[in-house]
Amino acid sequence: MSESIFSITLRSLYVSSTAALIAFASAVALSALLARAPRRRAEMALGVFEALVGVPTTVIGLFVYMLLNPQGPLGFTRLLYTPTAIVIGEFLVALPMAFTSMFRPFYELRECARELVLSLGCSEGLATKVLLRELAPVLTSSYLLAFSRAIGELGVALIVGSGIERYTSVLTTAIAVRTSIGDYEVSIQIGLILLSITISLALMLKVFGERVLWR
Amino acid sequence: MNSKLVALLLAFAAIAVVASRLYADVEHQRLIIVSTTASLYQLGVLDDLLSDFKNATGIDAKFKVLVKGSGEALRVLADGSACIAFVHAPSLELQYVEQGKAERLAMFAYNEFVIVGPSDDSADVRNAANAIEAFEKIYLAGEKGMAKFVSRGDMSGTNVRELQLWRLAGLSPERRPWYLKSCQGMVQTLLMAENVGAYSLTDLGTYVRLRNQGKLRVLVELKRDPQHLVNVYSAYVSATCALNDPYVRYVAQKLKNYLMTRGQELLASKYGDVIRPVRGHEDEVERAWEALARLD
Repeated sequence: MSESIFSITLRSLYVSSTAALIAFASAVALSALLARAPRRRAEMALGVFEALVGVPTTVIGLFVYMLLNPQGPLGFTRLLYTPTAIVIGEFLVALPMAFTSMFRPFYELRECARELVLSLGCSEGLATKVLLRELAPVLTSSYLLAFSRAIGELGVALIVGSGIERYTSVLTTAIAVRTSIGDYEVSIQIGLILLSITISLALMLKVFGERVLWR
Repeated sequence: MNSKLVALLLAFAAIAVVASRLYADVEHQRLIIVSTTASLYQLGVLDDLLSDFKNATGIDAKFKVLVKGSGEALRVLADGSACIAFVHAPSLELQYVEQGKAERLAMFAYNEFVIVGPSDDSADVRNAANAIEAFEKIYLAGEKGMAKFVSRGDMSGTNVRELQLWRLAGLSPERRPWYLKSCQGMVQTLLMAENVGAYSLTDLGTYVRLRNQGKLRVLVELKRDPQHLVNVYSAYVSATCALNDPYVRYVAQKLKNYLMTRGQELLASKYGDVIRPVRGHEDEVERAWEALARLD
């Protein structure tokens, strides 16, 4: 009961931003890969990921538990009930979110940007640069969505992290544990902290983007 | 332009790195994962026992505590995800012991479940001869629309006991409109019972703590029944861990001795009625456990 909310918040930030960053990078790579596919196949892939956005985090948590428990295929890594286990699970939670939110604009813009740049007689490399510049607002939103989904999820953190004090306790599990002992006041406080983190990160990134990236 | 995108990525990375610098993740001490039923953790009993155990024996293990319901606590124990478990669900415990997945260390403490309900007691539980009759009365009143019952519905130790009592009474409240399942912890369940004016079955410790916090105004203790409502806390070691890890086996053996000696004194001096040590009542508690474990 005694770990400070501050250190839980730091752990939450670390776990969720790592997971969101990996998910974001994978989503960019996946988009670049699928952008070359014919439209029909790209749409199919997108559809699958759109459906995956709704998978309950508890199910993903159980899936990761099955992999990581001592008798599971990855049991030898001894990662169960560590922050890393939560990162893995939250990566899976955040990936569909990041991918679905960036892929369509990525696909549409890629063709336009390429045609435009090549018709002006410039190189392929420049086409990529233009594309990325045009996509900057979309990518920022994608990252934010991935991060919010990761930091706000409970199922994974509870099953593969288990909210061990001073080790795997994150904001959402702290809320769950304190609620379960009837400490609603502290739970609400932690909830407000969670909210202010996500909102202030969103504002910061948007301001940063407007000033620097896509003005 | 590209450099700005690099800057964006760097900004994301910086957030992750800064947070990870401030938060030291790497730990290489001997870890022992302990799963526990929520009530022992919430009452502070488990922390007290484990830290006193380390002081008394000089064992420098790092215990990581997973707070779960008894059902999940036993499941992770059987998987070997946790090596030691503190639980109170005899019939589930027996299953895992018979499957060879868990070994009992000690039955170290007990207390009572109590039937709580609205102070007007519309089902007249106060005058029931025992817990089974009390449940019959609640059922009858429920069918007449005069009472409600809130169940944990989560296969926790308390829930398992409640289901046993319904079975003993020969009644099935499942799907009756007055039978509500909270599917949450004991505290939320009690608060729910308080809010809808319903009956419920609770362990004494959680109820007393919540009442002392002033969160229960309507709900009162209505029925105790030492015969049917004994609540036995036991410690188990996972067979997988004990087999593969001599250190866990060693710690488990020490813990077993500790729980039945110095641990008993700690419980007696600090927790009194809420969690009672078994010392002096070993046979009774053992008999009660056996009876409960084989009820199904």
